[in-house]
Amino acid sequence: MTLLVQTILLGLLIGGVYALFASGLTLVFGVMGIVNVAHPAFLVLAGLFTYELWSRLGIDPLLLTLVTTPVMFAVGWLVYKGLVARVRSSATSMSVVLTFGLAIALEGAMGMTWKNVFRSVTPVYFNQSFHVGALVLPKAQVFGCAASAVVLFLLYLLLTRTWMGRAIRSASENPEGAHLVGIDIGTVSAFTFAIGIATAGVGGSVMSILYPIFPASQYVWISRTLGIIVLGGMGSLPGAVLGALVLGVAETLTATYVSTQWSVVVFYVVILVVLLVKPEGLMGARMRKDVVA
Amino acid sequence: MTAEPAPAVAARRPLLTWRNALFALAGAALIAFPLLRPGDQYHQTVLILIFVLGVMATGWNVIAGFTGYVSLGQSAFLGLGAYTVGLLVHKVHVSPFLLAPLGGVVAAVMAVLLGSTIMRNRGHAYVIITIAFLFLMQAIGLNASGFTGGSDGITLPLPPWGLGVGNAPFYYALLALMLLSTLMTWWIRRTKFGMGLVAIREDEDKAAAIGVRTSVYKVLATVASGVLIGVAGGIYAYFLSFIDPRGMFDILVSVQIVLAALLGGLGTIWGPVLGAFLVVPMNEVTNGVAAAQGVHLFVFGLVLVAVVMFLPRGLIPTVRGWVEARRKSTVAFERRQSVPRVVELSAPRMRAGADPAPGPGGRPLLEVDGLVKRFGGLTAVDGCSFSVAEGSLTGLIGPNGSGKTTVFNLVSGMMRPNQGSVRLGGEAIEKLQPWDRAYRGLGRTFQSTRLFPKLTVMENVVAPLKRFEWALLPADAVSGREARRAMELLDFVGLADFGPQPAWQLSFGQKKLVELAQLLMLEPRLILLDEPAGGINPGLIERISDTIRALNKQGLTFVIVEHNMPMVLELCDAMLVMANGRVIAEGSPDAIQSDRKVLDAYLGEDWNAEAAAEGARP
Amino acid sequence: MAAVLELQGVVSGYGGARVLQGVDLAVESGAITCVVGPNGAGKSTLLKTVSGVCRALEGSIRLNGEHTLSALNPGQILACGVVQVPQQNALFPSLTVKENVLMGAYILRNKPALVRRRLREVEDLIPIVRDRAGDRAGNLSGGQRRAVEFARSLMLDPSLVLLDEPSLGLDRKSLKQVWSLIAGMRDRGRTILLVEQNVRLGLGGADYGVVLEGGRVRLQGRASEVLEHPEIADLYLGGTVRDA
Repeated sequence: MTLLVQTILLGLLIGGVYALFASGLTLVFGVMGIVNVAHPAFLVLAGLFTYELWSRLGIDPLLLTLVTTPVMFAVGWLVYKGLVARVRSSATSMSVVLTFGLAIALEGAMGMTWKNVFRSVTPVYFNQSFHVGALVLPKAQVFGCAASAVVLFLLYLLLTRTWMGRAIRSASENPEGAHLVGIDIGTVSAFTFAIGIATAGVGGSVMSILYPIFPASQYVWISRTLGIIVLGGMGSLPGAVLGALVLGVAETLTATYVSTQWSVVVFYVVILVVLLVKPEGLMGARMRKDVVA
Repeated sequence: MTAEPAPAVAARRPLLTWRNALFALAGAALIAFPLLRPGDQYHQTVLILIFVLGVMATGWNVIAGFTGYVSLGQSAFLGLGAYTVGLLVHKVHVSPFLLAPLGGVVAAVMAVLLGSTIMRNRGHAYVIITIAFLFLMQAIGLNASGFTGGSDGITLPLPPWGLGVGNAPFYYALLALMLLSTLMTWWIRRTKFGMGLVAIREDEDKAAAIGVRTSVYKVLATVASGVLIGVAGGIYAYFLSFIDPRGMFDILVSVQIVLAALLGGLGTIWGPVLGAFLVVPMNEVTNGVAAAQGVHLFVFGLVLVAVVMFLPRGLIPTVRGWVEARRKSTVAFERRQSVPRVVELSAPRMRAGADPAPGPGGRPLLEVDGLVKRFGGLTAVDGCSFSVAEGSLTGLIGPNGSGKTTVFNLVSGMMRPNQGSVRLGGEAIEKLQPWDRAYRGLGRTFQSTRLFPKLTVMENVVAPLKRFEWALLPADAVSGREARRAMELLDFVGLADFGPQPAWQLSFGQKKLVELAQLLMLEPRLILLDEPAGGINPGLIERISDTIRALNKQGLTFVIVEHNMPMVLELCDAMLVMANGRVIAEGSPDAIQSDRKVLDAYLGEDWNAEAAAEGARP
Repeated sequence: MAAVLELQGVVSGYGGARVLQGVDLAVESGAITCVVGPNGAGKSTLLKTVSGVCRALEGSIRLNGEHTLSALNPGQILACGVVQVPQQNALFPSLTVKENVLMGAYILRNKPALVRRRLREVEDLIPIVRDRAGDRAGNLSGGQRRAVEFARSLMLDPSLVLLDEPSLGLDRKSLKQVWSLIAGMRDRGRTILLVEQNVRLGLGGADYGVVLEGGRVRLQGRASEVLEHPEIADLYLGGTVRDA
């Protein structure tokens, strides 16, 4: 029984971190209708960047998020202006191909710079755990989840308490209505994309203490983040959180009771089943194609 | 997709052209190469890789270039073929060359499974599904180690022939497959099947409405795109002597397929092959430059991004575009006015058996009973019932929001009703697919005039299908008889000279006429016209009215939604008035004009002027 | 009374079609002007051309004597005090009522004190903004949503309000409430230009009426006179109504 509780708790902690990873992806889709398959590559990039700073300066990686976040924000802004903005008019399926190309280019660039070596950031609490009764909770996991929660909360505040945040939600929901109240969709899109990549900045730092970082790991993260946003409903931030928690638990249960190798299959199955049966996911809005007379 | 399709009607080009000579030369060189340089294993291997990629890219072209469904899971077929041979060869001790076709069979079976399930999704949902599918295949390969050998992979027996023969059998087998695959795409493009695929790409719902059975077409396209890849996979496995899940179900291979097809020209015949000749050497060069894998991927990714952004049509169509622009085309297609022809009873013969019984009072051809359609909280059609007599010209009018277009959509099959029934000639059709309704003689035009923009006018008019027959699929896209019939119809609407012109170049009014000609190919019993007079000048309105009358005399029944009151009241012999989702009045045009209820519906319910006044006046 | 909005010879449309074919119109200040006409006449296009969504191909549009034509984009037109409430899909369903109303003042977001003051004024005028402040806009009924849309449009204290079919999809009771709100806006000195499908309702509540047909103005004058004009039936039904 304890094993079950332990597994579920661990799954929730893992899911909490996943929610952070997927948040940027779903946010960008909500506003721009683009699935940025390169998002996980930015996560890995931020992770490697964190590793560099940590190995040279010895600062705790979670503190390094204060550096990686603004840097990645700037990167996101540049990528949007230089690349994404120019292809908004492409067919949606080609935008997936485009961002895939970007992901591969990023993987290549990271491989050239950092080589294909597994890297881990190992702060002092790396191997330690909290012991609560009979439960063992790895410290790194707990801290990572806490960091996620903080960032997601800040994101929530941004979206609900600031003008830009409201503009993002408005544009995401109703571009025409947003245009009518004077919202400039181009600026909002750029900002949203930059925020999305900025969350990848935090995510990467968190990722560095929990998972081995190497360029080719982007593929497993593509599967995970896509699975999460599909389950939650593409474009919905609460959906991403819910989807992440559900999938975190599902994956951990599978890893514990079946085998670790099969655990990632959960994500593929979820993608296939959800898109075939209920494409809008748990909390997404169905895109209406019906037109009223 | 911004691909330029090859013309469906194969022009009679002279056999001896520069292009054909070039191809013949290249082909001869490829065939001769292993004989001339038998020891050159390296280059033979590179060419083998090119051939494999060429098979895959030409296959992908069918589902993505022709049909418009961009898949990133295509390499799964290669893996399926490879594993079929890899697993069987240890049980059945036959040459893998003989087993390779079974790889194609397995690929085809999987294609049928995929095509019938995942193609309800379009756009990015479809792409994501294909990615997940490929990853799933890889995961199964890695984890079901009892069956597949897991990450250790499978080793195939080495070929029995000596070093003297070397790679030649693989080389020629794969070269033949590549040529076969190219031949297949060329042939598909010429057939009705191919035309249907392009129609699906251009406008899937419109294709369904004119009789293209899209569900079957999509499955067939998936099979066509995968079966030869499966065979190639079997041969490739034998060539490699070792297969593993990571190599055989590799997303990077899928991306290479896309790049090759895009570079060469999506939707062209030779583009994917040309692309393969570009991508594989590029791989080799970048793989050799630095030990780290990074350079290869970096260049690859950048090229893909650049191609999608700057060269979306690919090299071949872009070059072709330059060449044509410089040649100062002889025919300058300006927007010409179509010259109206005097309508004598040259109106084309319609469906045999339809008694020309003009005027209302005939037996009902269309019966709508209790139709209800809700969208979320809004009830657009609220218990709508009416019947349309055979041979009549019935007008359907009503204020904005009365539900007219929704009724059209329900009758033609673009939507399903929440309740109610629709009967055509006594047969209930409300549950039928749009193409099944077309086969039963129902045609419908669209307010926004939907044609297939990149097809020519002739191809547009020939595209509709009166029935679904497996035997029809391989037939020529435009047969002599059909072309003559299409010319007759185009002549009837006054657009006889516009046959070779791409549909997107036409003016709005001209498109309307082509859409009508399209419908007439179906030899329909009932035509639903959605705002035929919308957005065109008065002269053309007159012409359209005459055309409708002439067709009606031949026995065609019309239901016309229209806002242009003078036109519809003058043209029709029976009227239906809708308001708030149901029919509120029916009768002759005169009766409708003097019906108080109708005027009320248009001007607003008999609003209590005082009640409004007390709220509004200060 | 001065004309706050003047259109002269306006030709406009989208996608190459010329929907408006030379519209001359003067909209009186501080009054409700209702535009009616059969489908395809160009009513919506007229509003969209004034608010800048459609570009006028010919002619001029003057607001208080200044040009609005082609010089300004929708954002700038907003800044001139011209606000449009479209037919449908104006609100953001998952945002709260209060957030929706606040978004009306988006271009004033750098002046928080002003925004707060306007919000209070609007709350006083349209109570639902305060009563249902925290509810998601998507959960409101049609009439309630219209009220919220009006509230949002008032955040900019506009001088000219463009309403595109305010009665669309509303039941009788909501119609009365909506019309009294419209009258209230007019009473506080704003100019209202609205398009209405329901002719009797629209002209019944307005001060001035305009009948558009075939992209041109056919009738205009005091609303009550336009409503009684015998040619109205002609325009709608392509013939005369013989009174039973």
